[in-house]
Amino acid sequence: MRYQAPTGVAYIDGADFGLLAELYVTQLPWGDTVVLRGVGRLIWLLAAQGNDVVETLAKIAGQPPADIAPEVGSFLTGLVDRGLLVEVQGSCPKYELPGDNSRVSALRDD
Amino acid sequence: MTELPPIPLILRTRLAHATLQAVADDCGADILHIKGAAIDASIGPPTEDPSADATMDRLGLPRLSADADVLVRPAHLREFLAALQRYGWQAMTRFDTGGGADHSSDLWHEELGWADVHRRFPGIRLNAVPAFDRLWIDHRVHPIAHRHCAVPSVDAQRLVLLLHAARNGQTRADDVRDCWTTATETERKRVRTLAKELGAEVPLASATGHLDEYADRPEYDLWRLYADDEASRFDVWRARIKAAQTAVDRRHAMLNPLRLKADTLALVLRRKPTTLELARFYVRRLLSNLFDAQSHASQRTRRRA
Repeated sequence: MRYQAPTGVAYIDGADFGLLAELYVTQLPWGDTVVLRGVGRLIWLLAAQGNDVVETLAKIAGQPPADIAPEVGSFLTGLVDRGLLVEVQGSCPKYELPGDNSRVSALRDD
Repeated sequence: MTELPPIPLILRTRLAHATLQAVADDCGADILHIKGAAIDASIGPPTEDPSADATMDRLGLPRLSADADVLVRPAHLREFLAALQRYGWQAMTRFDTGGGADHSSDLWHEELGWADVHRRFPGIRLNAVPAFDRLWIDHRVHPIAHRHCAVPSVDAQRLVLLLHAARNGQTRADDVRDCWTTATETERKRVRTLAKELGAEVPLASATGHLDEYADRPEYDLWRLYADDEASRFDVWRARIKAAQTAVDRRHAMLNPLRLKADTLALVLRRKPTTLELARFYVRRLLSNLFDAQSHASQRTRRRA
């Protein structure tokens, strides 16, 4: 399953401004905002970029994908239910975020 | 997800801009995001030796602003404000709160902080309707918090920052440097042309050190006083009256010191003031204005003597 950021959210990452690595996701147009830190932030960013989240996260963590799939899947479902991600059917072109090329390696340091 | 902590200002204002655009899109309002996060990265000094993974915002040295400023097409203003209220924004000041600040209204959102909704921009003497039309003609799209937001052209962004600098005196020297001193002659020429179209030559001249070339203009005194950190309220009041373009504006400027600015006090107190607090605030302001006027009269008498 692939995901992407819905059109109805705005998001901004503190790490892009030299601040704490905290991702703020705002639901539009109400302005309701959530903050994602640590693994939650990592999962959202990977998902929004169209990555296979379980595979990529497993590589980062050095664990078999099957070990983390249930929890990660549950978290992703929660994000979708809250309107913070949308599922994308079929293959999804990677969503290029600014500074995207080093995003994964930067996230490893979280 | 965890409970939302206070969002850092530099992030909060960007989320506010994105939200304002979403509200505008929802109600069909044309808005232009100005200042702060809306400024193109090309305006301002480049970051030296940026890191290889620097984001676009880091390369452009993100501007810090205390609120999200937008300029609204006059015909869409009422609908936009109504939509903002529907989506949780509280109007904390009215447009006619005065102090010369009748160009904008401050709104507050519990999570996203302040928004400053402008119906016109100080320094632009052209009527608000054609002024917005002119700024809209060559507007562009600028992503803020990953939301496409409508912003003025780069030339107009420079001009707006310079007008803001002229209004705020010596504290905005960095803006003058970024928007003018380091600009090319071609860029400056375009900004001057745009200023003329918008009736903003005098404040532009003030920001760029050429104000005396416009000494014959009715708004000259006002922009001279804005640049003077020690200008008295009484002198500014007289200059506003002189600069007023219509009889209505003149009357508004004359009566401004007498207006009960309940929302100004509410902003300070962060709550609705009591009747007693309002009365004290009003009396203090009147006495202060009176004292200021008397001081001015005394100074004139001493100069004549």
